[in-house]
Amino acid sequence: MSIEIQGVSKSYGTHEVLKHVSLTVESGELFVLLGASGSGKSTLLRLIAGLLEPDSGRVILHGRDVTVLPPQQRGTGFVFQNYSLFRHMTVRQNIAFGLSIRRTNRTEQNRRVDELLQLIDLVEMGDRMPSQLSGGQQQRVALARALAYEPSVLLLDEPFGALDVKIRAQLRQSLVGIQRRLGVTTILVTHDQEEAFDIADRIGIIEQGELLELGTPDALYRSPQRLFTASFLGTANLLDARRSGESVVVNDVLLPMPSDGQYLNGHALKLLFRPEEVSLMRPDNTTSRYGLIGAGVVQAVSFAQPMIRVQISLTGEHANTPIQALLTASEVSELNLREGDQVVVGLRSYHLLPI
Amino acid sequence: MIRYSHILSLLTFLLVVSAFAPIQAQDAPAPVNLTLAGYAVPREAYGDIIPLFQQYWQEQTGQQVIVLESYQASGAQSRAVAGGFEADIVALSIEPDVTRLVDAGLISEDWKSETPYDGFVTRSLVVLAVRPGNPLGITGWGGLANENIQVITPDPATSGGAQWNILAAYGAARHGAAEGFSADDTGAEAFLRAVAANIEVLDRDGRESFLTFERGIGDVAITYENEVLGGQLVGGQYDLIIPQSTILIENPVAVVDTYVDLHGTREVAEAFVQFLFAADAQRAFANHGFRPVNPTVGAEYGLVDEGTPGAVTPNTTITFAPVDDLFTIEEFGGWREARAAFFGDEGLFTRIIAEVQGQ
Amino acid sequence: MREITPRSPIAILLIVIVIGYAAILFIAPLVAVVQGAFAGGLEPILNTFRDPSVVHAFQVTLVLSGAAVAINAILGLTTAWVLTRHRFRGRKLFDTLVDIPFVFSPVIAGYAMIVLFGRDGWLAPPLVPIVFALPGILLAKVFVSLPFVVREVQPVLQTIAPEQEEAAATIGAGSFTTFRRVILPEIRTALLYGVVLTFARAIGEFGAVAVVSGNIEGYTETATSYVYRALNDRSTVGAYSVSVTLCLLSIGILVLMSSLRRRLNEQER
Repeated sequence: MSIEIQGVSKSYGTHEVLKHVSLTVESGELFVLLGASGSGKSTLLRLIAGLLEPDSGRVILHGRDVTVLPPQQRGTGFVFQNYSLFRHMTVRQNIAFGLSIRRTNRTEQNRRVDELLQLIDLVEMGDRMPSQLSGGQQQRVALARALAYEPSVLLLDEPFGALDVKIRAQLRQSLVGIQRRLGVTTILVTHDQEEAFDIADRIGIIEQGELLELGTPDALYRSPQRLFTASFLGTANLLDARRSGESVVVNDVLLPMPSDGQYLNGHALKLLFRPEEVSLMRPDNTTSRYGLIGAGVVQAVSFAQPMIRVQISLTGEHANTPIQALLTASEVSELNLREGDQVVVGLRSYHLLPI
Repeated sequence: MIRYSHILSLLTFLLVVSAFAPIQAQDAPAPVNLTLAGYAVPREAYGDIIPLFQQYWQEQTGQQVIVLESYQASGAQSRAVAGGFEADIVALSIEPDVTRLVDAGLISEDWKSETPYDGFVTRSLVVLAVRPGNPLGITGWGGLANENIQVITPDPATSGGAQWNILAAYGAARHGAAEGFSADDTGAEAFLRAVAANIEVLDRDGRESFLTFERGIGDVAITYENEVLGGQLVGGQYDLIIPQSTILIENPVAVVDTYVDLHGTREVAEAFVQFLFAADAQRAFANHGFRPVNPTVGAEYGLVDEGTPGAVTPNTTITFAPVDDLFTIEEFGGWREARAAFFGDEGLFTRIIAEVQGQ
Repeated sequence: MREITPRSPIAILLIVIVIGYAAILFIAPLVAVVQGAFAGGLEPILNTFRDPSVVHAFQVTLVLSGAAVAINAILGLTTAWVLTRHRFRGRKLFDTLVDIPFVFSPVIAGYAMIVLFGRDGWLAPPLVPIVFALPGILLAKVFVSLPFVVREVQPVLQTIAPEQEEAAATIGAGSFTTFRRVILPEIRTALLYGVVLTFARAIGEFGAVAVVSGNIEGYTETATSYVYRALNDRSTVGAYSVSVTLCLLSIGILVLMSSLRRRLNEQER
């Protein structure tokens, strides 16, 4: 176990920022804390680094209880959204800062800085001042600076937040590469789910100071256990459902119980299916390959590159819950879908959630 | 490469120097320290007197005296001593500045009885100074009221000494010494009003005011005999006019009882004050233009009878002329009354100046 | 290369006004003082500096101004730090109060010190005399020159994001190392400016010092007090030669400062 957070709480006055959060991040893992702004994700990260003190609970790094230690003694590497390079130091001096504090000898410092410059692909830039670098370059230097003294864990607070979209994607990949190569246990905080899905080994969803759910990106997307997670990650179609024997009742239709649905009879449930899990058919040409949940009317067809988004309103009790579907262009043209067309909605797969 | 550390070391250096700075008062082998708080004008005279006293005291007691000297405007000096400036002796320009210290409980009520001449160590006169050769033919107070005459006098609101000037002018006019004005309060007030209208510059204190005149501003300065004589000694080019009627200025000196008891310096302080009345000190004052209070010394400068020679040689270029009609502050019932009547918020001169400046 | 553009009459008028203004305010007095000092040749000037009370006045001035600089450098930095890094009740008021020495007449400040530390004062010192002694002069100099370091350093500190300090902390730097290696290099030009201005102000202070020092010759008399006394004593040469020395000192400090600044800037390049 590399990072262990046990029942950590933090309040500012009456405002509870973190509510008894526990979390374990495995050695070498790249863990992403995903949450909206104000969810408490940065606070949690700062607690781990020692920049904040928890009101209660413990922080354990590599088996060492660091809860009361100042940041200097925790040996974490921290990367800030705004880079926070030391403006009066060259790139090399910035990277070497942690080493020079630790009184590493010069030769070793230089060797290590060279190595890191190579790692972040800025070999030519060592003698530049931070002000002479682009944002992306500065953030790479900040990363190298945090890695130079071989931190026990690497903590990144929205590290790509201030960069433009293209640079962001590039930098993400190089971060993942570096993290994999060094195997350093990493927590990255972001509000950008695309970023989280792109790089995370596991994601933790944090909302209003609570760590709602943990899991691999795929598991969280496909079969979230919490309604918030379901709707927070991507687009979710959610319909009221209940269990009846070995079936699920939704929109007066019986569907086979999905494999992950271990819920009690009569329990109020939500049926979750993603837009890309929806299959549309003409009423005169249906197939029983998919779970059919009823008929509907096409409300809108729009282009959502590279797919086509179709919005359907079901007939019956769910008329007020429009269904989102993502279809390929060829599917749409095959069906020749237009607004107002009658369709039958089928599901390739679906999941159940407790309410 | 200059780094901030160099600045730090400079600062440290300065701090260290400050610790070892040769501050005389702490450093000198000083069996006894005496602090003299004087008003600004008699500084040179004290410069002559102090070495004489040091020698005298050494001979009498074998003890060395270090005199720390401070000179500033009389009122400021008096306020400083009242505020905690622990001077052993005060030598001020006007009696009320001593009275302030009596009121503050620093000087005993009977200070005047402790010296031979009622607490006054020097005298002077309010006089007029004019340009060389007296081109405007000013012979007395009356000339100050003429039109197109520029008069220089210090501001009585800030300078104690300046109050002498106004009282002298008023008193002289009341004695009939201002030609063209009746010899009563009405005439004196009218005269003061006319003079006030001619005032060109009101400086902060007597010395500054006279320096203004020396720099060529104004036709006539109301000033002090010692100021004019002292200025002439160092080459000042102006003529002294002693009006037929004027006020006698008396400058007090006193031991500050509270502080001498605190310092254990009463004996030497009292000896110093007594020494100021002895012939040599009186001669030193006279040599700088002050009228001596000691009549024996006065005689050497043309006042009354012959004196005996001593360590200080009388400066024969200085003679003090007699004044026909000399009055004192008692003319106005003493300082307290005079100040209220002339310089208080509703005082005559306060009102006149407000009128004149309001025009 | 920039070309000199033909000037409009208004521009010429403005230039003439500015130069005339400078000439009247700075150059003419300077020339007069220098001329006054050398009016009697070199010998009277040398005599002035042979006067032990003049030498002592300079010592008092320099040493106490240096001490005032040291105190205000440390307190000023701390104040600037507190004002930029901490939020507390009354901070705005405190921030405003820092400027008081700029708007307060030094003479009044001096009287206030006498009320506080003088005989029967609220804070009358039991053992060491403050007013009418050297500590009082130091205090007066510290007071009048207090805002410079704060006001020079504060805006620069504001540009340093707190994350810089946090970054240094996570990297492992203790607060002293962080200050020395992260904060100080950022503020050193400003600090230097502040220190120089503090020193210049402390050297030149007259009003407050005149009130609190008692002007005891050879003890509490400062160079500026000497100038005032010498002028009143008709010792023009003495007054002017000390004035010229003070001028040269100030100019020297200015030159030193700009050369230091240049070197610091080059270093940063």
